[in-house]
Amino acid sequence: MKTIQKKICLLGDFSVGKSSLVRQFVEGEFSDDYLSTIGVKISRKPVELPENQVKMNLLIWDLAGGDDYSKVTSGYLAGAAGVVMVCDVTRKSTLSMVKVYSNQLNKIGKVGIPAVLLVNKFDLQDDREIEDEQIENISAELQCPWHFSSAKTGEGVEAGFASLANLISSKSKTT
Amino acid sequence: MPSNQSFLSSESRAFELLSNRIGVVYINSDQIIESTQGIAQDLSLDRETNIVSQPLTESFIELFGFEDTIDSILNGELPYLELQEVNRENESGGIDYFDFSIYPADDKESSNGLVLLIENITNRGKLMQSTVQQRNELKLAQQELSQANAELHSLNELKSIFLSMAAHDLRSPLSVITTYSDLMMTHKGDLNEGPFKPRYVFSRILEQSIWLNSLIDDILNLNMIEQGQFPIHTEKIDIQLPLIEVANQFRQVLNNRNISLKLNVEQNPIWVMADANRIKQIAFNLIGNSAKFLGDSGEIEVSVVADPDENKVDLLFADDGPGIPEKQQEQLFQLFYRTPGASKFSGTGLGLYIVKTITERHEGTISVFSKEKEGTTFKISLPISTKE
Repeated sequence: MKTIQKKICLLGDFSVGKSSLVRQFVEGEFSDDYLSTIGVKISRKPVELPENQVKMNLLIWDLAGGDDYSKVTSGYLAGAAGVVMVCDVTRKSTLSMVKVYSNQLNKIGKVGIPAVLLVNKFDLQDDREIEDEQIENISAELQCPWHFSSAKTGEGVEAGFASLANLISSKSKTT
Repeated sequence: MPSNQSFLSSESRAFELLSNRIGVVYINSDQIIESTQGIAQDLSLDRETNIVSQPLTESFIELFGFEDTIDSILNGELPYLELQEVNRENESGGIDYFDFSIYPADDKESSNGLVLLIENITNRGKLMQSTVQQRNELKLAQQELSQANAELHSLNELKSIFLSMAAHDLRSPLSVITTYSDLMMTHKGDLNEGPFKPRYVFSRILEQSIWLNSLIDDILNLNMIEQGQFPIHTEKIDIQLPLIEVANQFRQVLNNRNISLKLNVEQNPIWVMADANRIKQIAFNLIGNSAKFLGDSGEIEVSVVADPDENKVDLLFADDGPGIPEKQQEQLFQLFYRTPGASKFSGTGLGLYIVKTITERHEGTISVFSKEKEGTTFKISLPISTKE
């Protein structure tokens, strides 16, 4: 099985759970404490893609969310093969931020970069503010698949990252 | 003035201090590491192996993906590359922060090599992290506050609407009762020979009194729920008895409209830990709702189905009325919610909210099944008592 290394970036508003998603995906752990990320934290995780006969070492860039998105996206996205957009199912405004990040990607020439949308904190769906229809609309507009995820329970986390890895692998084959 | 000797010793001390905070990596034009200084080796991916002669992006994964950018610096197309606030987990599980910068090794148009500077900015980073953390927490609190404010505002508006509706709804039955009572009082001669038969008149008065009573109950109950004082006094009862009682009361009224009320109960008692008065309230609200929306004719069926295997009993309140559109079903149990179709009928939007509250206080669940033009069924599932 061929081994390749790819850089992916997590983008999304502050406190949507980007760092928790990475922690759950890489270490299988979760903490309820909220610690804001500044700058970038890089983690590594190998993913096997039997369908594509590839083992992909993912270098996961967990980027700070919030007001500094323009600085972050333009500076840190060089060489990224894919992005995970994250929003919080309990905060409607975070879905709008996904669009802002997507526009930012287009501005810096990353049009058509493989992307998945993770609608996180699905374990808190009783406090849900985002409807399926709204997610479908954004997902169609950005042309990226989406998954519900919960960094707390682990639901949808592996599937989300694997889905992006497969998209990257398929794109690598065709280019 | 310091002597030459002490100046040199200060300079070497300064260099020593810098070496503990800064790492320098010299890189050739093939992006291979030529030499290192300071903390560079310790920050490489494999700190035990000498990184000299290793590819730059293999030793510092932060730079993976920047190969083209680095080439552009070598070619003089870009002046430098900066990666700020790179997080690294330290041995005690905390986070250290570093700034990475790459510059040309010389000031020629096209450089022969590059210099990577890695600066430990942990103290500054921690301060920034704490500021960002406070800012983000404040923003979250603001968002929650503005959401709570919006909810309060909308609840307040609903309350105003409710008060005006309640005033109207209280007046309607009272005026019917007054009119019919007046008619009976002022009629001269034999009442049976008047325009309205006494039985009809009294049944109308009874119907309106029941409605008035249930409206006042709802208002009082809402007040208790809001104050967290909604008492439920449970005891082991045959859950069928309060339903039979309410159904009998309604029958007298519904007989005068072309509405049939069928009650399917089991022969044996079904024991549930429940508050009989609250169960009657549930039945009153649900049968009353059906009767209201059926208009002049239709069928209401109340069934009790015990499921000992699941240790529960289902109370089903079904009608063949106009039904509720699917999109409106989710909101049915919200406080003050009234379906658009209900606007032509009297009502306050309290009934189903109270029914749900009572059900949940009995550790039960409520669900609705409805199809437009076919009818509606409310199902209340309650746990069967296992107490002897």
